Amino acid sequence: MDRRTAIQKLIVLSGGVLIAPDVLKAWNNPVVHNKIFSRPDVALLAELAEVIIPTTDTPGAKEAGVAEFIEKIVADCFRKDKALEFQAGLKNFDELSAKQLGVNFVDADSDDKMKATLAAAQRAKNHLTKNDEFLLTMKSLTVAGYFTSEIGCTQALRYDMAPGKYVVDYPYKKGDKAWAD
Amino acid sequence: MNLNTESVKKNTFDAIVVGSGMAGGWAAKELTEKGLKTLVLERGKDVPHITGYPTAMMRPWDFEHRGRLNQTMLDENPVIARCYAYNEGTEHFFVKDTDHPYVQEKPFDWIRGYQVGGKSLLWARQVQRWSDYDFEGPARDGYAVDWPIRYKDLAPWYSYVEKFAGVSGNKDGIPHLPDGEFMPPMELNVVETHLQQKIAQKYTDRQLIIGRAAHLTDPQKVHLDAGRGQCQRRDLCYRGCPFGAYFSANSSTLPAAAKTGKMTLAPNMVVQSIIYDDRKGKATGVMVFNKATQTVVPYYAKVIFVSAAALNTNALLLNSTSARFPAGFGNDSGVLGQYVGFHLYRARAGAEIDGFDDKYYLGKRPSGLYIPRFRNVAKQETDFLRGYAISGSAGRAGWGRHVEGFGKDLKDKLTEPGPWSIYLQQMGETIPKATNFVSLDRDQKDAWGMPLLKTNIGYDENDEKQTKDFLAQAREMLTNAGFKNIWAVDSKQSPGLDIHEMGGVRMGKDPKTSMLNEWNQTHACKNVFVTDGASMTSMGTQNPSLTFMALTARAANHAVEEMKKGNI
Repeated sequence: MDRRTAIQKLIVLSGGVLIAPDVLKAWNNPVVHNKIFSRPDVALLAELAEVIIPTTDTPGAKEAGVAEFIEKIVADCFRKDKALEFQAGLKNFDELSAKQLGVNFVDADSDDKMKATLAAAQRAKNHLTKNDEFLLTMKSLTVAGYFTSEIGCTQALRYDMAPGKYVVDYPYKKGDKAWAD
Repeated sequence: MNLNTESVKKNTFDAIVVGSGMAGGWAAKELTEKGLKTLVLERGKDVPHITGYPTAMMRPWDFEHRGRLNQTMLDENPVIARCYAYNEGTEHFFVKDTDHPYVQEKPFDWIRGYQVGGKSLLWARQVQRWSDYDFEGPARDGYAVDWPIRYKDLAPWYSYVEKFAGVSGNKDGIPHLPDGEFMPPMELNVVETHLQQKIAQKYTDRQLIIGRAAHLTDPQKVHLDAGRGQCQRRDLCYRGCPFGAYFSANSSTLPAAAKTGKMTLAPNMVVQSIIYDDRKGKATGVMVFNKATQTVVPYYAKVIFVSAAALNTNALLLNSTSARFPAGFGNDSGVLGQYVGFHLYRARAGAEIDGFDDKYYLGKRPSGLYIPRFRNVAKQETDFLRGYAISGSAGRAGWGRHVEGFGKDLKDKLTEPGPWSIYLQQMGETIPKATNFVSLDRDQKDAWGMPLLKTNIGYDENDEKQTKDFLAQAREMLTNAGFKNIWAVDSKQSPGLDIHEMGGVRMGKDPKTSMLNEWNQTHACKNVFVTDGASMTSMGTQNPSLTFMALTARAANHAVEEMKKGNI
């Protein structure tokens, strides 16, 4: 059975529609919806995420909804103390950036945003601030949020839900995109 | 009186199967296909094939948390949280530690999947046959008791279950890892092939092959007729496969049993004990806690198959006490619950390699490389008993790797695949001992009236030596093959996380030292069969499910023959 037949057959078997994620709610996934961030916090997350993964020939973190992803992960998946620590780190980053740039981070131009981000990275490296792991956490969340988003998977990377085969000795040249999860 | 007779009749079957997973599914299929009206009792919820896999077709961005689980939940369920396959896409197939307590007298990570299909939805799908080098192990090396069977007894049943399950593999001609009924093998990628060649050049005692996996690479009529199709190389197997491309009870054996019209599948039914009738000198049925009605109800049958998962089977037998069996069902020997073993998964190794930058792969292969056991195979050679197989895989790093910096440069680098690396996992044989045992805590019961299981299962000196040897050998093989940044670590993880717990109700020739005969039949009560991992006399190094499947099909065939002869 080839891949097209297999997928068609699957669609028939599952009653014409693929199983809706709503079905999940009937299962036992207990999600806690904590509220950690204010609206300005989320706007700041979006701007900082865009510095980490910017728009290039493909859309960046902002368009990929990374801020909303971080908001959800920190609220639902972090322990409460870690979530509050992350939020404090964000606040601290905002204050120190404003001091450095003379304007709020969200209002700065992209060069200044990068400058503030690099300064924060330097502070973290030298353990100068008490929330120095904030930027590392922010970076890893941004990367994860971006490369698991629809934009990240299908535009920045290559996505194939049902490859149908495993090809070894598949050629690669510099610049070819990696496969998405 | 009349009413009572009616209800007994309603609750009476030809056969009862306890558990609906890897072994139970096979018992259900074989017994119903041979004409027996069979009740399959499953403690967990129903998981119908396809519609019971809510996450199977979800894309990464369809998950609310992109696969992550709530940290509080992980903290509250520390055992299950350690399982590599546990995430937002699969968590509904695992129990919560909080719902299903047990007592760890020694640390033991008990990973459980309580639902129709059991852990057959969650297994790694690797299916290697045992050989006589495994069956003869206890007799040769002087531990446990001799197996009452040899490879020739099981070989036709391996073939039988492989043809139905569908197994991909290469005919490698390795004496201690017999070839089976194979569909085309999965493929080794370029770095795995490189290691394969380097091992072949350097060593005469070992060989790297592609794992034999229960995936349809060339579905046959028996599979297509059952609605099963070609493996799509998605590697999302733990969510349940809507293509039916890997073997699970849900996709394969249970539908076959249902098709006969002879199966009654009853989820949410916790079997508490086996009923023994002193007058008849045999088991007459089981006592069941019905979760829906919250009542305990008896069910009756001529023959009972216990395949509830290794440690659950132990618990059920230990809890089935009677005047005849005060120490647990069939436990004349006193060995019930003892000689539990597992697979030694403590150590792993890995490395990176240069020189394959112009190579990649397409697709996600749901299998990996496999190095069959090479220590002490034909004779004793080292200062430890038995040995270990190695599983693993190579691939190029993805976006999760560490790259310095921020901005366009970071993004560009992470959109490309990273360096090649390889990963090797120890899969060692442990020696079953009386001192590795499970028992019941008579003072504490779970929500369904079962005494809690207590685990006393730990590592021994042999395990330590074997682990050290793996670390040295893995390092040596990777060094010889030109890998760099080699690491090799002993995780010191607890037993159990291998999810290959076995034994406690072992087979053997002598009723004085074993629980089951050569047909997985209780020595002391011939109409009760135990065919899951609990029945294993020794552990081998192979992923065990294939052997449970073959034992179950063989035992079911024997049970029906014995019933026809009037012996059961």
